[in-house]
Amino acid sequence: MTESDRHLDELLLQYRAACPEVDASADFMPRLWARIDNRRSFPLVFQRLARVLVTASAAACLVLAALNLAPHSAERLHTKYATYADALSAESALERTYFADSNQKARPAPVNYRH
Amino acid sequence: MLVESQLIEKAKEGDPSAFNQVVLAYRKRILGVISRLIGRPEDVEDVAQEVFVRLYYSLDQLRSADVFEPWLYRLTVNAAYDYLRRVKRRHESRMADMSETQVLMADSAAGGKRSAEDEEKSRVREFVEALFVHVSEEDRILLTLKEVEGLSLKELEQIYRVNENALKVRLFRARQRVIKAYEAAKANGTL
Repeated sequence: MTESDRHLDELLLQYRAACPEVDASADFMPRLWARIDNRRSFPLVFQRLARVLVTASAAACLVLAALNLAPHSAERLHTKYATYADALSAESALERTYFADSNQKARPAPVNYRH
Repeated sequence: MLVESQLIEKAKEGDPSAFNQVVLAYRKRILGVISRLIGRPEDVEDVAQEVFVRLYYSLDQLRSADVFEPWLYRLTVNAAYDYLRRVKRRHESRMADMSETQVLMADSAAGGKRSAEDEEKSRVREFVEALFVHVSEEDRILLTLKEVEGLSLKELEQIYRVNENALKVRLFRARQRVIKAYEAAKANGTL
């Protein structure tokens, strides 16, 4: 150990003694518990906010689903046709007509082989 | 240890009165360490409270009561680092960075004449703080814990979770830098 090392050790000892003793204030503990409670309530606010958001998004989903379904069913079953069976039969009749039309158009004109 | 392991176990289980007793037992020591680490008396209590709040919320992660003290020192060092970083960001000037005139003005503003003993103590503090300027903030904290607080290498190993040899090297280098600054001050006659 060099002389400077020894001097530094002594100086650091003096430094430790020279540093003032710090005493806690009288309201140290109440303020500490207030901080602990404050930090505990902080995540609770987020939990509540998250719950509100989940409820709101679920409600929005239901409303959107209802809006999406409502016009179609009303149009098909109540506006045009009286019953679901009528709607089905009308749809199949439409398909048959379309199929017959397209067959006629696609069929080539008959060839007369007698000539 | 300043408290029994059973008290720490109770505090760990969430007993508020046990936690209170732990805080009361370690409060003075932690305030002293923080005071030497951050060097701003007006903020010491605030940082100490932050340490104990962190302790309250991390106590359930403590493996055993035997490692309580290194755990508490670790929280203290981290809170001091965070504080110093915050202060650095705010560009606040520390007493140690002030010119001699500013220090004298601040002292006289604090009021009253100081005794010769107080003058000497103040001179020692300022001189050591001026020497510590020659090492990084991290090394200053490490050096303070080892040389001023008197923690052993084993304890520092537990606090920093770094192997002893790495700590020895870092401490040696930091100390060499401080000695160099000390010798320069001696040569300049500022000692």
